[in-house]
Parts: sequence; C-alpha cells; structure tokens
Amino acid sequence: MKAVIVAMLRKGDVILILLVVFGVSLITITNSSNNPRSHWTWDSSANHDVYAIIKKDDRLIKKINLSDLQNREVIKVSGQIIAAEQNKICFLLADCSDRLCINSGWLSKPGQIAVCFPTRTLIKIVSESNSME
Amino acid sequence: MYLKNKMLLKRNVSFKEVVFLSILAVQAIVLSALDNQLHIPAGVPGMEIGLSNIITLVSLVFFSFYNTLLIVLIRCVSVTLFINGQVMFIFSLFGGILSTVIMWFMLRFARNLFSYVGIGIAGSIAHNLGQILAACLIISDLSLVSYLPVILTSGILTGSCIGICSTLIVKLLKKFNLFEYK
Repeated sequence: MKAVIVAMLRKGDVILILLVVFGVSLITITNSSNNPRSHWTWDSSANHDVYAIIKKDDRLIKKINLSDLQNREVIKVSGQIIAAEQNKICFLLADCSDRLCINSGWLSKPGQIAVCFPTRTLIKIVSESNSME
Repeated sequence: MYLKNKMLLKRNVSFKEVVFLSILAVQAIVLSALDNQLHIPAGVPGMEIGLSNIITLVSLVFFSFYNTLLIVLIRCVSVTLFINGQVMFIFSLFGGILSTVIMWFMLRFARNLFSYVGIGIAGSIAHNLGQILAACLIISDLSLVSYLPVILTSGILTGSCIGICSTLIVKLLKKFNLFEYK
C-alpha cells in the first residue's frame, strides 16, 4: 500500500509537501519565541498583565484585567453570558445554533480567541506589559 | 429545457452529462452531510474534513469549471444554508470556491508536475484557508490567522486522502469510457 502511494507522487507533490512542512515549522518556531506561549519556562504574571477584550460587531465593549480580578464577574452581552474569573474567561451561555463559542471553553493564554459567529461576539486575550515594577 | 441548460452551464451540454452532473452533485451533498457529523476536535471554528473536495476534483477532471462551480453551489445551499446556521453557509461557499479555483489552475497549467495527491493537498489547504478567511472577514479581526499551522497540517493529511480517492475514482471512470478525458 505504501509503495502504491509513493509511486503515485510526482516531483511537484514532493516540493509542495516539503514547502508546507517548512512553513508550518517556521510559523511554530517564530510563535513560540515571540509570544509568551511557553508558559512552562516563564511565569507570565510576573511582569505582564493579561487582559481580555470583549468586542461585539467590531465595537469594543469591555476590557477586563484578568490578573487583578478577585471575584467572579458576569457580563451579559445581548444574549450571551460571559463569566470571568482570576486569569480565565469563558462563554457561559449563548443562544447560537452551532455552539462553537461554548465549546471553546476557558481561555487563559494570550492569543486565544473565542468567537460566537451569529452574533459576532469576540473574546480575545492579549497581554500587555505592566508599566509599574 | 435544452436551451435553459445551454445558457445555465455556458457550454453545450448533452443529456448524458446533465444526468452525470446531477449524480455528482448528490454525492457531494451526501459527503458534505457526512462531514458535518464527523467533528474533528481542533478548536478552530468550522474546521472540517473536506470530503466533498473529492467530488470537486473528479468533476474538474471530466467537466468544465462552471459546471463544477454549480455543483459546489448546490452542495453549499442544500447542506448549510437552511440547516446549520447561515454563517456556515458563507464559510462553505468561500472554502469551496477557493478550492475549486486553485484545483482548476493546477489542473490546467501544471498537469505534468503534480499528481492528484498534490492537487488534493492544495485543494484541501485552500478549502480550510477559505473558511478561515471568511471567518476573519465576518469578525473583522485578523487574529484567526494564528490558526495557520493547524490549517496547513490538517490540509496535508486530508488532502492526501482526497488525492488517493480521486485517483482511484478517475481510473474507474476512465475505464467506463463515458466521457472524454481532458
């Protein structure tokens, strides 16, 4: 079976596969060196604040500082309920039909996104450097 | 009836071709519905195994570009417009059109360089890319481009399966000798 597959490939296929694998490795390497995603080596809350941005229809609704949050905060955005706790945020309830937003679960790392498409609500996590030492 | 077919498909079509195209369209609908049931847990909104790209590739080999676009449109309208939520319709449409265009380019200009496996990989990557671009357009935020590694790896895996299936199907159909092979 493997011999049949390898016999089917031509020169262009191999070039294409190598190009894609190269691109994937390039992207993952630059991502893990730029963004603070490698949390197991670096405590992210040392000098960076983690903010959650909630946008609806491309308008900024709320910006929450997740590192400073003590109690559980509940935000209601026109049909969806968003719950924010210390260092995490998630969609609790949504009235959309495909449920992609709730299935995204808890977001805690910068760069993670949860979107509810029918209502165009977006939760994005960014990290900004704390100006105070 | 015959005149309407000529104007709609922009080419002289025979009755035999219309029948075969409708069979292909129904196959595309069935495969796309199967796609919706098999969720792969990738966390990306709307990521799916592009099984209907097999039909697109087979139809591009035997028929013209506009006929294949019609099959893609029929598939998107039937499966996603009324059932899943109107957002998935835009995703499927963008992904299907982009994958059709790229597969047609490769079939037309680089036939000797690529086998069906390579064309399937390119079509699968283009399908996922089109879906993510449609999502970026809807939320007007380019942050979904960070899912690019997931798109590319799943594109290679599903694309090779699609290429293998299409090679087998095209071989079988050539043996029947029903249509001229472009």
